[in-house]
Amino acid sequence: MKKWQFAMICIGCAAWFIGSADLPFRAQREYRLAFTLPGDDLSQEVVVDNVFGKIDVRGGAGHDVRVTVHESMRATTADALARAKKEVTLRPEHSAKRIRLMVDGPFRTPDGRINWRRSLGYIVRYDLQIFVPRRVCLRLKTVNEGDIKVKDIDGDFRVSNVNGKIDLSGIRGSGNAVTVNGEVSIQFDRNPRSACRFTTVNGDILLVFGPTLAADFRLKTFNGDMLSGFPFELQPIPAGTRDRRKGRFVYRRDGVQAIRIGPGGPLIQASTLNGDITISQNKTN
Amino acid sequence: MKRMQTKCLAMAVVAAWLLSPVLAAKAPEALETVTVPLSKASQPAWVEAHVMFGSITVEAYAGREVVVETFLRGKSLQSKIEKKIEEAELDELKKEKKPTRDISGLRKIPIANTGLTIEEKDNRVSIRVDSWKQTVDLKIKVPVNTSLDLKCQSNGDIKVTGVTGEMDVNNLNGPIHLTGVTGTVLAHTLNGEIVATLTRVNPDKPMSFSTLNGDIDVTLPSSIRNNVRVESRGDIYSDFDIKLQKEPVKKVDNGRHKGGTFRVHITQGVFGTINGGGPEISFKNFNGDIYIRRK
Repeated sequence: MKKWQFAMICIGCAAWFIGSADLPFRAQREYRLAFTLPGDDLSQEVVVDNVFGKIDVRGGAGHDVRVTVHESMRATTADALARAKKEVTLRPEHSAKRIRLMVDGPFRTPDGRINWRRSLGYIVRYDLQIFVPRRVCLRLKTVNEGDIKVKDIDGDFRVSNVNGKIDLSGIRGSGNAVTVNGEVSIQFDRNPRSACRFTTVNGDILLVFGPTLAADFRLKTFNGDMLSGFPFELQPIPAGTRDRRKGRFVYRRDGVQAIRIGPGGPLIQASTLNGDITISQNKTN
Repeated sequence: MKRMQTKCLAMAVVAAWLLSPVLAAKAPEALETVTVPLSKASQPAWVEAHVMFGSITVEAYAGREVVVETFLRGKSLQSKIEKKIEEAELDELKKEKKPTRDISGLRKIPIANTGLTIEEKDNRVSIRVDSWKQTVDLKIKVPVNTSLDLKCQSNGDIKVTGVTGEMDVNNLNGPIHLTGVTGTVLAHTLNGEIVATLTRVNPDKPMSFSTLNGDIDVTLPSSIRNNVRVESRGDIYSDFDIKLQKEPVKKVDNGRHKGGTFRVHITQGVFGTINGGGPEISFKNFNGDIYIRRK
């Protein structure tokens, strides 16, 4: 298991532990934010850095970015609830080409990472429903209690979750989608033109492409099947790594299967531990 | 006489024709070949290999490196690619895994990967493969002076040829064949025969050959000096001059002084000595015969 996977599992476990505690004091509210991204090129970016809660992004026409924020707080005591209201905020940052929504609180390190070293006695959850111009790139992140759902986006994407699904549809760009406990489902409206990576630990990976797909795949599942709706050819297995450090020689082949669909093209990597990988054809295209 | 010759010739032609596909069949191609350099090439090596589904073949050679080859057993990968998922399998997949997902028309992507991992430190080489989903055969070439620790679970046999060293060989559902080996052998399987030919043995160490269901056929140098212990429900054959012990071996455990019990255990089996005796060689099976041959 790679370091980042281990770190994410630790964060998820800590958050789950906090979440599972009895939190009888509650408060919630809903509000809206609005921004404008005036440009029309794919260098515009929407960034969401959430901790608890789901992210639902939908692309459409126009230049407006409209965010519906559903904030719900749970705390162990009335005092903890008051602290939660004071300490945790959804901080929007807006520049000409970038909108960033970041959930900030005492669990953040100065460099913006999440560190759950102590129990705060409360959980603040933000469920975000975001309408964006479809010609944007996305960077979305959440950790707990929420899936990430994206629909109709032309730009590239970097999506990360820990305990939840990732479901992207109507996608015309390329990018990465990573979770730990949850399914990864990507449906491309236009086949990716550059490299993509899709990773989960516990869950299936479902990739749906248009019929003219041309790509090279590196697939890996420990406990599951790999299925393809496209004719494919097996590629030579990537060479194992050889290493000699401190007198120890190690040769390791990491169980990746390489296939080519069509004449080949961008490298698409998909990896899960417990789950199937399915590459299927978009029948509506 | 001429008629007889014609008959023989005809039989030879038919036999050659029948065997031709076998003889013409190409040896399977290794999926991967890894050469492992030893840290101390002039000293003996120690190789450990574990396979869940598959076989292990170890051969000694004149080189100073360990060469590991892996083979995937079963239908060719190309035939697996060309085959669409059969109806029965599709139904099973739909039922068990994806009741809501349309998987008709999909092909299974075969896993042409053994997940081979090899580690070496101070001449100790450890070899592992992901053989729990598919049958993987391992072929290992080792320097002559190499000790072995080999384990197989199912779907394969263990074969060792020409190695000198200490051998701990365990199979579960398959035979063990050791040919022209030298040193010390501990060989155990559950369902399968053990056939071993030892060129020389280590005079100071005991050895053991045991199986539950299968014959044990061991050929030993005529000059060995060992005690032998043979336990079997089948027949025991030997051309060694084994001096049999007349009294059964009693083992007494007196635990009375600790408030326990006094226990006498009379060991089953045949005990004897070869050439005056020495370290014990144990032969034990349940269903099968035991052959102890002199070379």
